[in-house]
Amino acid sequence: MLQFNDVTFSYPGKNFPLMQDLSFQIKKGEFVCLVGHSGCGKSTIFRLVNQLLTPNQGEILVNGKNIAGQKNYCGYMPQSDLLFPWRSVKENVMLPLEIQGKLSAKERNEKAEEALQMVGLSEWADKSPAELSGGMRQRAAFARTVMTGSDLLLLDEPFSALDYLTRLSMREWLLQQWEQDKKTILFITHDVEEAVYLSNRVLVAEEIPMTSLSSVEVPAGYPRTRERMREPGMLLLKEELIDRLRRKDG
Amino acid sequence: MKMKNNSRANLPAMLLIFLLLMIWQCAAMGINAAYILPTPWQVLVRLWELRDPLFGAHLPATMAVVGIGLGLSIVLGLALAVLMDVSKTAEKALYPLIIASQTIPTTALAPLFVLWFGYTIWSKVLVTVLITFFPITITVFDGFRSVKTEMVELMFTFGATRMQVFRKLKFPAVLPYFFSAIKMAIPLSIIGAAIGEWLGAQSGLGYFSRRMMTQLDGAGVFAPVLLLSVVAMILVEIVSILEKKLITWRNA
Repeated sequence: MLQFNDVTFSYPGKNFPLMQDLSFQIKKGEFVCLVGHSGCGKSTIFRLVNQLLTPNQGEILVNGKNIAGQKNYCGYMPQSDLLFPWRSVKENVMLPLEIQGKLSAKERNEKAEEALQMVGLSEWADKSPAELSGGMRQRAAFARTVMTGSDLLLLDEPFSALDYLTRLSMREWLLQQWEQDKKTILFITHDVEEAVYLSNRVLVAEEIPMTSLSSVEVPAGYPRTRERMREPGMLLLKEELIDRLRRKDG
Repeated sequence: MKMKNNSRANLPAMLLIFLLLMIWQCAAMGINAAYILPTPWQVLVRLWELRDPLFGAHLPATMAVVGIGLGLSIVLGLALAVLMDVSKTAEKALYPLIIASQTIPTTALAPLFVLWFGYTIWSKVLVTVLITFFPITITVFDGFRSVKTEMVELMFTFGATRMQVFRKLKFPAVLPYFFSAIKMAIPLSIIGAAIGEWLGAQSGLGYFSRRMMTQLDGAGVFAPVLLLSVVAMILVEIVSILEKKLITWRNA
């Protein structure tokens, strides 16, 4: 689904590269979490995938094709919801469709209503985003991301600004969504527990420059419950990941 | 509910205005020389007596200057702001010039404009535009700068063109700033028009006020000024109402 082949990248004006010959891939339908320290370049990976940045060397493939020249191959959800305050919730969700300009106004409306129903916000369609709680805003932002129509979703710490309990229920909710529509999700977080709870596989960014990502399988299937997090294998994995990230601290 | 709150909040202001008017009235009665300081009541009476020339000839003349001047300022102000937003080079080139243009004492230059354009409307319009375009440009440009980069990037990830980013993100984001700019620009354009008319005109409220001064008619000087202030307040109020209708998300 998503493939990095020997990607090297450095920010203009910086002497050292942030990524050097980085290769990894994500298979169709996977839920992969990417963990690492802040500043290690996790978000840069996303910015490269959605072409806000261009690699100095190497290539990035989505669905086996180089992303250069492709459009609407991935949906990006940033850390803050970035809902436009002058648009209603439904109009916000419609935004990607409006930009693509392929559907009629009526079809857009129907699609947006479907998406809102999916995230449980049907009754809030005509409200202003300001009237929504933090969790609801993230759900609306997720619906908007899904509306891009792409099978690859890039979620950049989408729940980090929420309070703890809301975060817990948003995780459960996200897994339900993923099991329903089987998109491929790459999820950035610095919360190891979140990563273990959500994903099939965790990618760990351990060093700068990033030359490789170590991949760790999560020893549990789906559906996940919070109880499963108490299984020895899961606890062990959590400790192992924390250890790995800590080692680089010293 | 909100309306009620507003009127209650305005009560202290009303009381203060009333108090100031009373002080004015008393002071004027104490001085007892209407050609130096007329009482508010005398000004009102004079406004009524002069209603025909004021409303029939001079107010329309001034409003023509204000209308044309404000219109040109809005066009120029917006054009400059958009240009500086679109092109970094334009911003680098224009921004310092626009700031510097405000150090020019426009009022002192006005006689030059009279020299160029004579007593036509254009000398006054030029003064008005020079005073008025600046806050529009700067405020609207600030509005463009306030647009979150993340939002622009998000739109690009959706595949938006620059034009779409402008229409769907920047335009609505800048609207509140635009209204603030207009509310600032209205009184400035009226001041500009009045200054222009003092310096050289054959009609207009500024001109009329000056003429009354040469006749030592204190109340006659105040009457057109009062009229100008009221017009400015009414125009600003109209814009505020429009703003409230159009921009429902400002406090969001």
